[in-house]
Amino acid sequence: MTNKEVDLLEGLNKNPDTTLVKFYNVYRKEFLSWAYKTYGADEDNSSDCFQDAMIILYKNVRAGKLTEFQSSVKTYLFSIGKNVLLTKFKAAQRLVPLNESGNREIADDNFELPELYEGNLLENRIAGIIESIQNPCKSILRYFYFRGFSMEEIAIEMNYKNAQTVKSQKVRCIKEIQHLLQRKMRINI
Amino acid sequence: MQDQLDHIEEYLNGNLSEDERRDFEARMKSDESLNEKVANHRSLLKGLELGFNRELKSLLQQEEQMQKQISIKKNKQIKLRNYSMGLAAAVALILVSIYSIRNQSLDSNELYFNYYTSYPNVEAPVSRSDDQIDNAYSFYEQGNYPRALKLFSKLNKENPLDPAPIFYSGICNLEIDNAETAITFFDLIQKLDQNKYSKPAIWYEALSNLKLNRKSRTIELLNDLIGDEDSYSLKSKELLSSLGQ
Repeated sequence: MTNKEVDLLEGLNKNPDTTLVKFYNVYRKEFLSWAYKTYGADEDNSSDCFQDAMIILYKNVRAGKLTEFQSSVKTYLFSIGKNVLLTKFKAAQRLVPLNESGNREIADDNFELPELYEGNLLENRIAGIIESIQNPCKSILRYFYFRGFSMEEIAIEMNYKNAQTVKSQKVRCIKEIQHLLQRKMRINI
Repeated sequence: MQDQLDHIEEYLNGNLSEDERRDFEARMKSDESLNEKVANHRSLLKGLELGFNRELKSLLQQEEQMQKQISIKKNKQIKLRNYSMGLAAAVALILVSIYSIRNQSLDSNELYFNYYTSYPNVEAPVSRSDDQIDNAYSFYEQGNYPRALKLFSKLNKENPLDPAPIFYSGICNLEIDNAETAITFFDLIQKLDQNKYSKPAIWYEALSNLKLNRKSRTIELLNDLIGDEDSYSLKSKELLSSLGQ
């Protein structure tokens, strides 16, 4: 693996926010101009797709689906970005320009755009609670469910006495979410 | 609750053994409340994932906004810079042509106007994060020298050893016909360590003296600029010969 790839994979594990922003900025400009030249995509559309590509990259790394790059970080990111763009264009019934062989390119067969931000009513309500919930709950839940840390790792990271303390706190956090959810359901927001 | 929660999570994450899974599903069938808890927890996990994805998305959206603003600002500055440099070059060209056409002895004031072009803003593009710096240079570029001067003097107080605000204060003074004050600023530059404004400051100090009709001081300063093979040396030789040297 090249230094860049090691940087990316290690960075996503240690500090995903900063790493995603850093790599977003490394390839952003090139992706936007490529998407404009190839598909006539404007900046708003292509930056939206490239952001999704970054998040999908992170999820793949976290799920262990991506431990090394067959080609390069750039090729990998551009390929996801292209598939996201083609999928979104298709959904919006927007045509992409004909390619050299006179066909319109479509997303790869094995690519499926995951539902990243919207779910059913209940899931959306929970997502809304997560966005507004305070610490320590937010950090504990993020470490455990989003970043895949163990209880021991969270205890070290957040200065808790031990894993058991974190576990009890996590249960309290889940109860808090359930409580907030019930209240939301009652007033129907 | 904790143990049951662990069990539900292990089931949902597919971490139970084949036997444990079968056993758990059998219990779900017979226990309506367990079944409901599993369904609720599944929604909770999905909701958590969506919520954290949204946060990442908004982080990247903010970054995108920032990048856009930076590139808009950059383009503006480049345009302004190209414009002012282009203008300065055009003015210089016209003046030089006028001079070569006339090619006759000129008085100090005429010579001054033939040689004087305001110095381009070479600072602001690298200091875009600071509003005060930005404003000083943008007033300078707009030709609002009195306001630029006020901001340059503020900058100078904050950082007395930075040659840029001192140099541009000199130019501003020259622009508003305060050649005498301009000279004090250009003199100050010479007292600092050698920097990128050292030579320009001598050149403009020479022009300030020319404007005040102090020929011998002008000649003295121009002689300091002769030697190196650069534009200041060439311009100085030319001006010296116009002054009869």
